[in-house]
Amino acid sequence: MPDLYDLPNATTGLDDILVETVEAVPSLMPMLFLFVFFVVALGGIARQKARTGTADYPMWFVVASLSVFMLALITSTITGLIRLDWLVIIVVITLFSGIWLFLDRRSSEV
Amino acid sequence: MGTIQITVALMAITLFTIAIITFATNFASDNNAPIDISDDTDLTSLNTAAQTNSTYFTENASSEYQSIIESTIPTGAQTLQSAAPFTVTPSATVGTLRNILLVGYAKIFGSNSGFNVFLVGFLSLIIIIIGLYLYKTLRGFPD
Repeated sequence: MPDLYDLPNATTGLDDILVETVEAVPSLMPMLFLFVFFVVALGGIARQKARTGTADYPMWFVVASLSVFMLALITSTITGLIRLDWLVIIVVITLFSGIWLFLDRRSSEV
Repeated sequence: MGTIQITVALMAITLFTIAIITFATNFASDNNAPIDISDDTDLTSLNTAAQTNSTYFTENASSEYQSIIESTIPTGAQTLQSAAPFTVTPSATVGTLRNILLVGYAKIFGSNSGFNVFLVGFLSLIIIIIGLYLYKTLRGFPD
């Protein structure tokens, strides 16, 4: 019975499955980064707002940016998962989040 | 936003930039990563520029702190004439913090000196914050 799709080659390492998926769907990694970013940022903001009544938006954007930054660094060790321009964009977003946090006039939790 | 707050904010942004880009560069170097942030010329030159600015701040922070604790004002009803009572406290104890940071850094990240610019800049920031708060104690400003 034929398969509905070509099974990825898993004999050379499990990361090849991910690389082959990225080759088929190039937007997979940016979408994954976007997902992680908003899960951390919106999740943190919602929980803090529910707990204290207010939310520290810059702090949560920095936390989310750093989460994505670390994830991007890990994926940068494997050829074919992430492109240099995506990594640069993630670094720049992290720096912008830091600028927002440090120039925020309200007292922050950090 | 007061003088102390804006000074801390701008210096913190500089150190944050250095820390992020240097960490990414060292991570790629240590792991032989095929995607290396140092291949991007714009971010590399940004890191160099930030380190230059940080070095400039570091060189001036020490002399500025010295001038603050040596400054005098006429004795008032409830004011100190100079900051001399504070001279014993911060500068020597900041050295302890430096030693702790250096040992901790060496144990965790190894003996690579690429990150030392961050540590030196961070300590200079602490020193100048102490100096500015001493000045505020004496004269009531800057905010």
